[in-house]
Amino acid sequence: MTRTQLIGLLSAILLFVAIYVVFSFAEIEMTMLEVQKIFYFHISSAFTLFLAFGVTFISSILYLIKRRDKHDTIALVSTEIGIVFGVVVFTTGPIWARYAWNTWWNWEPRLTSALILWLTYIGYLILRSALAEEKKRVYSAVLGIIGFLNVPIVYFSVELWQGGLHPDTSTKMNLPSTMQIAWLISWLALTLLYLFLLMFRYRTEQIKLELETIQHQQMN
Amino acid sequence: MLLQASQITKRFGHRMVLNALDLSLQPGEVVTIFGPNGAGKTTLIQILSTLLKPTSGTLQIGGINALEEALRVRPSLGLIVHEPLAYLELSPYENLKLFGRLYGLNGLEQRIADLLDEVQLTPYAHEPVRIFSRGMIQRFMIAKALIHDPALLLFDEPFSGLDLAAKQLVLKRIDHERARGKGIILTTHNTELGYHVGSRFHFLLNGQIETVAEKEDIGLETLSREYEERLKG
Amino acid sequence: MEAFRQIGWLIHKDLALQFRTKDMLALIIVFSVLVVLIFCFAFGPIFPEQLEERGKLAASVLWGTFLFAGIIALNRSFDIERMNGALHGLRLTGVDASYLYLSKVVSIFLFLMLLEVVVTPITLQFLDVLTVLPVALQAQLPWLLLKLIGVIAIGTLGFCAVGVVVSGISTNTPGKESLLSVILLPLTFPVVMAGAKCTVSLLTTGGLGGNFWISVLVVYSLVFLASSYLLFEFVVEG
Repeated sequence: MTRTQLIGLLSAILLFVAIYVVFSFAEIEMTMLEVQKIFYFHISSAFTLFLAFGVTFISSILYLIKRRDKHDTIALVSTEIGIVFGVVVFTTGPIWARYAWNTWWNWEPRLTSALILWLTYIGYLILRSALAEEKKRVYSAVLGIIGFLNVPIVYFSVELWQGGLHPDTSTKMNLPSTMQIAWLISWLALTLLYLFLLMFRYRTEQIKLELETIQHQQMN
Repeated sequence: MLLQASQITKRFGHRMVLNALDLSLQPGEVVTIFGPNGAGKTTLIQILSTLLKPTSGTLQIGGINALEEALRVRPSLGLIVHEPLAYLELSPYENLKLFGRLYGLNGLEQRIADLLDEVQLTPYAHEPVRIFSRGMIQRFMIAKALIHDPALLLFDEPFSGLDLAAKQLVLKRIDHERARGKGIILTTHNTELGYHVGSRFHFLLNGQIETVAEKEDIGLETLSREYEERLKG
Repeated sequence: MEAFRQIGWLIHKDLALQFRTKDMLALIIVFSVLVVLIFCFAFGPIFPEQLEERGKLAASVLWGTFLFAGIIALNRSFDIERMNGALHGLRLTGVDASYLYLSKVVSIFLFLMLLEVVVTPITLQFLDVLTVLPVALQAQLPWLLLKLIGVIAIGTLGFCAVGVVVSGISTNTPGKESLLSVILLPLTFPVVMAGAKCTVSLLTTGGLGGNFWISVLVVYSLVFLASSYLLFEFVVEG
């Protein structure tokens, strides 16, 4: 079994475990009842979104220094996966917010920062599709770096912008133990899922590039 | 050795445009590279001028590694291509002043005046280049390429789109610079003019370069005949 | 120092080109005033009575307008370099790409400042902000305006710091104006947040109310000036 398949299997198992733990094992929260459970997946997806774009950031730097194509491929693939996790974040988030605070969107700092980052990296993909082959990798690497440098500034700005209007969402430390376990397992499951998707998609992209090279060699 | 290019390969995506080219140039030589459109002439000139990086290969200009130290090497180059590489909203004087300052030249005013005089643009020294005819723009390009007295000149299709007078000016200029000990590489598909001005000839076909002959060893008719045969085959 | 002289000449060239086509400055000023008018017609004719609300409206209109105008200016500046291969002419002189970056930031900054100095008082007048100011502030009006322009200046500097490098990577694409907007706008959100907050604070209290927001603007400018200075070499040379 390859490493990718192993990680894939592990993440699949953990996902099932997470679903069980979240829905059967974790306690039901008092105010929001069952709907609260979406929060485990929401917060884990948000984490993987930041993780994915962080990987893009590091890979972009590595590409500019070393100019090895594999770094560019990792940056591209991680961005794509990050954007997909973003879709999860921005569907689960509003659903949770609707039942927690009676509004679909509430400008919570982490959510808002995630949104801005998500939009930046959608721009990354649009840029790549608009650029010719020659400059594509270098220019998207530049954007991959600049986009991520914005994150701490954006995060700090949005927090300041809110001025502490919101109930603090980081109450994880006060959670009963069943909920802490659910939180931990779903976080682990989604992180492994990200890793699996990254490795799998990376390999697919590599094969695609190799195939193109062979096709072109045959044409010549 | 003024320029030494070795195993220059250039791929755009999957398309191979230049395939393991070797080329060398000594001071006082004029190398003419003949090739049809699409053969890779423009790409080759761009790489030799360090404006474009090759996929692989080495390039030495004046003994310096031009790929690693492009900024150091560029002041020794003069480039003339289809585009003016200048600001058409500004006058020749303003353009030459700007580039002269960036090159860090002394006695700039005099240099500009002399150059504009040589290319017969003095009456238009303060008009925006935008209003010039093609021939006048070509003359301006020559002045701009020579303002910093480069040791190596690169011309991409210097004769295309020019009237007879402008062609004569270019020919004279190339001769003049060669006599001053500069090295010149030019690409063209005009066999007659390319033969006349060159001292060594190459063909660039399908991304590969072939050394044909030195001028002493081949006549214009033979060269033209061989070139046409290559184009067919 | 050689570097300063080269950067100086590049700035001189940019300014000469920007003002040579006289209609460019006029066009951007008219464009900005039109955008301001759009907001006025959407919100008016009676604007919010309360000073803070009026101030927020003014801040939104100012910062939104300057962002859009800034994008036009950036596009225009890089169009000039792209046409006729002028940028390659600059590269051939062996000038450092980072100097090209700094000169672009300075020249576009100066151009936008000129625009902003003209449009800001016009906007404040259209929105009738000046009459709702507390009497104490009305007395120090010139000083207040100066501080406001100062805040706008730092915001503009941050905008240019990011804008020049993003413009560099998007200028060679089809649909470059829209692409520039899509990539650049998310990156400028901190400038809008911080700039607007500072503006409201100035208009309501005459001071910045603590240094948080102005620090955001300053940090933003420093972070992006430094990183773009280093990254611009890759934009120019590939």
